[in-house]
Amino acid sequence: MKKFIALLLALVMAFGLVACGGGSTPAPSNSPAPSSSQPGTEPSTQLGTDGPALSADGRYPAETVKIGFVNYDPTAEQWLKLEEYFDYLSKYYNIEIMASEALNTAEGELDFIDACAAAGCDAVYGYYNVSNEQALLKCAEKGMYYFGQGANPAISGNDEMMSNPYYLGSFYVGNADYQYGYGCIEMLVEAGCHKIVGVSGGKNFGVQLFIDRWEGAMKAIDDYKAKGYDIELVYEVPGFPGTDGSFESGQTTALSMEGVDGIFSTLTALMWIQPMQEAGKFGQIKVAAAGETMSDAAIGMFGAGFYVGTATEIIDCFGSAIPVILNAVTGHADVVRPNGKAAMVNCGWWKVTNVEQAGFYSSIQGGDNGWAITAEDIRSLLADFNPDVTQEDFSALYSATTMDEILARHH
Amino acid sequence: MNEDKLIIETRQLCKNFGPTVALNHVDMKFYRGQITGLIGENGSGKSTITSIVAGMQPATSGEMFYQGKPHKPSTMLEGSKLGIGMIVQEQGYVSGITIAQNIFLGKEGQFRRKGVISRKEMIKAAQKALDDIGCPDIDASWYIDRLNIQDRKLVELARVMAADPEVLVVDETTTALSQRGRDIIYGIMRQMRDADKCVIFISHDLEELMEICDRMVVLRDGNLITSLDREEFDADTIKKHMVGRDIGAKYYRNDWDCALSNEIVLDVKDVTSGSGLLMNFSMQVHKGEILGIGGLSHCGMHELGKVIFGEEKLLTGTVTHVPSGEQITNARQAMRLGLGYVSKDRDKEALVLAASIKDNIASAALDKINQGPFILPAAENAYVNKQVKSLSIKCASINQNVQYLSGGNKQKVVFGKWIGRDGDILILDCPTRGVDNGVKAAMYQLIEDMKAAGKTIIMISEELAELIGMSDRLLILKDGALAGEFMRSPELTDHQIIDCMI
Amino acid sequence: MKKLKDILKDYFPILGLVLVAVIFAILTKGKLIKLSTLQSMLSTVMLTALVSIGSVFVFGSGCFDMSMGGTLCMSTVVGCYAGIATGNVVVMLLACLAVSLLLNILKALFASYVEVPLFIVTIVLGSILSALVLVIMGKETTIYLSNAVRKLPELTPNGLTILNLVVLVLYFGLCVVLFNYTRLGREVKLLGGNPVTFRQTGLNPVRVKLLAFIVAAVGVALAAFVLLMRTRTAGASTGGSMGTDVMVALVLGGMPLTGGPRSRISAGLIGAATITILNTGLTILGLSTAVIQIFRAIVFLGVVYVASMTYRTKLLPR
Repeated sequence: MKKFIALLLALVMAFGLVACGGGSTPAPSNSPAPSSSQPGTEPSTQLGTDGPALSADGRYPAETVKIGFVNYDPTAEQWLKLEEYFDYLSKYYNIEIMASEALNTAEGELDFIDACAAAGCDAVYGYYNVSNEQALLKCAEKGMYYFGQGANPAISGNDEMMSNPYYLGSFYVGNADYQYGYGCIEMLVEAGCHKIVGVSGGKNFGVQLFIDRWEGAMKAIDDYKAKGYDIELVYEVPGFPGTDGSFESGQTTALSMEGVDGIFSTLTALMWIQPMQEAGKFGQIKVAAAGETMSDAAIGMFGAGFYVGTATEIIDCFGSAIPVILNAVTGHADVVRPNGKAAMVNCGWWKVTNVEQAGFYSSIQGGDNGWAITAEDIRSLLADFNPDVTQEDFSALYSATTMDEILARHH
Repeated sequence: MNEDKLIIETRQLCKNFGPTVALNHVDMKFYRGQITGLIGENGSGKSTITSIVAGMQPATSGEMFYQGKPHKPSTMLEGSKLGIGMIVQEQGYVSGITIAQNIFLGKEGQFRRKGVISRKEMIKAAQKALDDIGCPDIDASWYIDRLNIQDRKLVELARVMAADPEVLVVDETTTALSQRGRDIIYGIMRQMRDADKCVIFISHDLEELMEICDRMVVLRDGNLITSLDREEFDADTIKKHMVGRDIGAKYYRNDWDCALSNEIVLDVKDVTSGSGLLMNFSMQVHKGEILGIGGLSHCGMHELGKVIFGEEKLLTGTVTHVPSGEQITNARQAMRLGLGYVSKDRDKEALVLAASIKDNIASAALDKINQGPFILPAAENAYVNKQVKSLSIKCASINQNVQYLSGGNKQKVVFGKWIGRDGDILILDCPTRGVDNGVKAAMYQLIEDMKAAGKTIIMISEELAELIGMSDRLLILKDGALAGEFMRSPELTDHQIIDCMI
Repeated sequence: MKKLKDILKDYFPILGLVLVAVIFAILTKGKLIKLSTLQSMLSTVMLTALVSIGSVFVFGSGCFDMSMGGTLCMSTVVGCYAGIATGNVVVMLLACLAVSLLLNILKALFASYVEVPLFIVTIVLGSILSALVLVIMGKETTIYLSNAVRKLPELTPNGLTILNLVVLVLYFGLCVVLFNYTRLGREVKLLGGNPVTFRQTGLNPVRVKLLAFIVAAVGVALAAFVLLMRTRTAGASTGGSMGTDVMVALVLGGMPLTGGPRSRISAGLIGAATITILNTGLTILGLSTAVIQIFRAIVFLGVVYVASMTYRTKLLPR
């Protein structure tokens, strides 16, 4: 009896789904901008009068825009910072971020996207991606926009995907990690280093960002050699601290080598401080790290003569998803998808070479100086406020991230 | 008896286990300055009543009075605090901790010094308790697992005595003890009596009870039958009260024909079992006989049953199924050859307690009720219903779980499992253990019927009366070897067999 | 006539499922029971159900298998490689099946002949499998079916739903028949209920364990196949949470993890549906990770508590 009922339940549920499945899937091929616009929000008609309609508490747009966020580690430093930025933006914009738990499987990612659709999300931010284009296709199936994965060839390198009306492109820092690596060597050279130890992190396990950072650095060394500058990589410290011990033994070896005057790290280098002090080489060996977050400790290490440079990602760039999605959801997908194709927002990164810079950049990542890209800056990218906005304006704003440019905007 | 000395009284005490009535409106009194013996067959209710008094389990209905006050302990600890100490039949200690910790289990608080339990003081007090009962050779700081079974019982005794009880209950403890242990317990019981305390002594051993007790109470099927003072003690009368009839009436077989077929069906040769309990044992089983096998516990008789069924590893020797010429090495093969085996340990070995009557009975017949690769419910139900009906198993439905059946009905289910298979040789290890008399009679009838149908039955039993009453031929084992063989005869007596066993 | 309590006891898992569904339908303001949501939940239910239904045989016979996640992962990864190398769906399915069969037969042999509790053996096996997957994948972290030598057929969402259903219905049907209308089911329950009695009834535990693990292997292989058809990728973390999901599903479905006579096939299906609704509902509510985990723990504890009150037998091994 129970078995029968169970089977019956399953069948009823299943047939219901198959029967209705067809009807519930929107057909995006008909129009480049999917018809997910909310009733009551017709920004284009209201522009001429009092500006766009706002929500009861004065935020734009009137209806809450819900964005699913595919996360891989809810405790990661970068995500926590980004969450802070989203919180800041949501004071001005009527957005709600629905972040996933730690996702690391394709099935978990697709399940989460399904749940986003069920929760009524308008878009999904592919901050992380395991299933490649399947994530985008799933969003399209459910009628949600997809943002992110600018460096993922299966999506941004695939013409079919770029033409998918639900793909909103991403932000892009060129080959950022390669540049970070290259930049770190430049900073070491500026500091006068010749004998370099490289910290390769996940390079030997095939993790792409470490490979890119490493290759960028190697290219820089080759370029400097070609110019006649005396520089060489004398040793490679592999792996991560606190794992199998290969990092620690590499560290000991590196510090016992004669004449080493520079360290290039593909990850934060703060764990070198103490061993260097013990080896009596603190301040003698200069360090440059790719991907260091601007923490108080990092700023202090610039002052102490430990760091000569870091290549730092700008949290605000990850936030470029917000104006892109807001435009799309309010019926202006054509702005961010010129010529019916997804586009990339060019973004800058910071090459931090001294303590003043470090302090400043830290202060505009949610510190005393607010944010590099403010809510006001973003307003200029929204078609409902600025009807003349184009995709180029996005790149213009997000690549104008040097200290001077930011200061100019803030005043 | 002087009513001033009354210490425990029960009024209309009842205890039911599901449909089984363990105590039926029992009015009983226990006095100070006296050793009261409780005697009765298995399931007569003697352990039940003391366990209720000590707080091990609650009564279903009725009242109790202790030292004149209403008495309703909810745990043994509560009973013990009131002064009732009990040494139980089963394991009454906790393994993996020290002897001292066992002696003061649940009472560690008295050794608390500044919030910490003083181990040293506890051991000192425990050692004193052991010394007091006459066991200075047991060191209280040892782990209890270091002791043998007998000494562990003495530790339990020390624990009970350390609480300085008013009432001491000794429940079938002496069977596990050596003579030294027995002497210690007897001594303490007498000391208690002389100190005007109350002692309740439960035993199977009538002689022991007659020697120790001042008064004896006979229970049968949960009813109080009689209370006898020392001067009234008489073994035959007590036995009669226990059984409720004259022994020898129609209960067992009443034919004395024991003609044996010449055909041998099983040949056990030079068997030494893996457990070491059987040593170079040989015997033959004739077709169509009821072969009784008896002996003291640990004589190897229970292992013999398993050996024949291929369930016990053999170090030497063989078991041959003569008609087929095959050597039996495992249960599957034994079953294929038409053997069946009813284990002594019904709950642990013969039944899947959580499964239904249907599942249990059908389990031995999965190769008989199948239709091709399938087992259809209709065929299965028909098969099971047939067994349930022919054995008159009392149940609400064949889908009822066997764990809630009474012992007798459980045993019927086990029988049903094997009888339905229609094998030729059935090994029954203690088939009437824990079964009430009505069911016993039915079982005996069943065994007779099977014999009449030409089946061979090997009946291993701890009950002499049953062995004498049912067997065509009776083998007595002692220390893993054959000690004697008796043919069916009205002249055969308990004494002849006991002499052979010991 | 059965007592009301017994009837409730039998229907407890279904009541639990309905209750969870109703609660979340209300909490999510109906979002949970939109047809599109139900359709997407089906694929998740399906995946857990395929593995859970098969594991009813394994857990039912008293084998505590902690390596189901690892087995699924290995099967998916090898299947994906086979798909990439040949571009053939059938080869891919066969590769999934070969791996899960091989691993499960290995477990059955361990369960039969090794005197170490199976759950310890399978915990170790689980770690070995994850390590092995990493070795096989070398420098890759994820492999993609889209890199196949020949393009593998790609199913539309409706196509996927139909595939899901067909596979689930067939496998569920097969298991119902095997469990309730053949020797295997009886033997599984008896073996789980009391191995000593089982042996003394002349039944062969090795045969039953082998068959139980083989039936389960088919479920795992089908799950791996369907997973590949849906996600078109595989990686070292694929199926990572499956091991615990299945155990939770069985308990929510009303079956003790120690197996025995209370085992039932419906537990796999009902439990899989309950846990999926629970997980999806919590995600839709958009609560923070910590809150979700606390909530999930509370529900699980509640179910185990209620269940252990109704069942008398232990749901979890000591």
